[in-house]
Amino acid sequence: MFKTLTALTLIGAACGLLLFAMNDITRGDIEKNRTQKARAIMAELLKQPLADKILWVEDISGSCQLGYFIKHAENGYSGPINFFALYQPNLPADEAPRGETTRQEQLSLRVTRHQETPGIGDFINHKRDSYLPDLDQQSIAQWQNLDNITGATITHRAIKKAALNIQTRIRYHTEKYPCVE
Amino acid sequence: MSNNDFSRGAIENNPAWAQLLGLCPLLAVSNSIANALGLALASGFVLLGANTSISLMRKIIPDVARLPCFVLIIATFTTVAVMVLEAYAFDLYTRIALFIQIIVTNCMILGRAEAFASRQPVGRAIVDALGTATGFAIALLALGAVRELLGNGTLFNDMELLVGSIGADWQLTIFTSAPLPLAVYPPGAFLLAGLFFAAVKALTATQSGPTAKKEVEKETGTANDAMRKANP
Repeated sequence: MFKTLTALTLIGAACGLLLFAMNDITRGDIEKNRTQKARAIMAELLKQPLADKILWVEDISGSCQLGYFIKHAENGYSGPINFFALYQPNLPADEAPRGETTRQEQLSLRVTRHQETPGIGDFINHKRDSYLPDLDQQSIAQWQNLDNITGATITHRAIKKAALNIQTRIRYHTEKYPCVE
Repeated sequence: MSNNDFSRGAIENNPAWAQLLGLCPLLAVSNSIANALGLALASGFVLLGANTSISLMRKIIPDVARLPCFVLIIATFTTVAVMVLEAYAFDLYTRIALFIQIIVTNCMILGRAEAFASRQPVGRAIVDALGTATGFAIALLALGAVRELLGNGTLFNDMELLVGSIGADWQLTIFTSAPLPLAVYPPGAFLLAGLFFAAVKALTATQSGPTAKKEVEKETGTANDAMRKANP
């Protein structure tokens, strides 16, 4: 019994050590790649170049005039789905950006992580299919009218829930950090 | 002995066409040479790492918990492969990530660990891993080349995802329009893999036909003799 436990501990420690070392070696490059991917999605959603430095507070960045970028995770059918969203809230005339009148809320979503089978359920990947880009800049109510879809992880329920939760998180964020032009 | 281990893993007991193992990633990822090569390298790395480690630790791995130990070791090397790909070949990683992650459940790797690496010295385990990985790579690349050629009319497309900017010039356009677009989709994968396996089977049967027939006759005769002795 003691021999078995010692052997298992040794094997576990060796595996853990290897993973720890590899994580240390690759962490910088992985972070850089993920940041570049996130910036590409942000620029695509915003349809304009981004500032060099972006400040994130609780996975939310931006302002009420420009819109808020938000990283969000929702439970899908058999695992988490990671979203990247641009939420542009309702703005009355006195708060709207210069030259614009009132703006209705708009939400654009991109899925950054899923477990769909390539070639089968990856319609949710904006690089392979226009399914999500076609739904850009819809209101939360419009997102709730989504047609039924399902995949290994992606479901219409998860997307609808994500839209609602993103709205709630932004409301909480704007209460905490009020809109200032 | 080592040459036998290598050729047995690569050709005679090829994981794809002889044992029909690892078919899920084989069919899913072999839609281009670049994807196939990426998966072949990752699978080969995991197989080599797992076989070597398991053989080195075979005397301390408790027999009652050997399978969890094998899975832990295979999962460790799979995670290392995922990290390396995500760090240094990110675009390729985003295309085949799911199939890199499920290398951990690939029966080919667990099978070699249980049947060979856990019972043999490290040298033979390494040669066996290299042979099996080469066999899997041959099947992946052959299927990948045929599918890319028929489905896109090209060869070596998107190689820059794997080897960097130098690979951008490697693309060969053989047909201006794809002769069989179905080839890059899952049904095309099933059809072409079936034809490929059948062709290999026919080829190996032709080569070893008379010998195999004699062996079968001999075995049948021995079995019949044994039956007669048992039930006179």
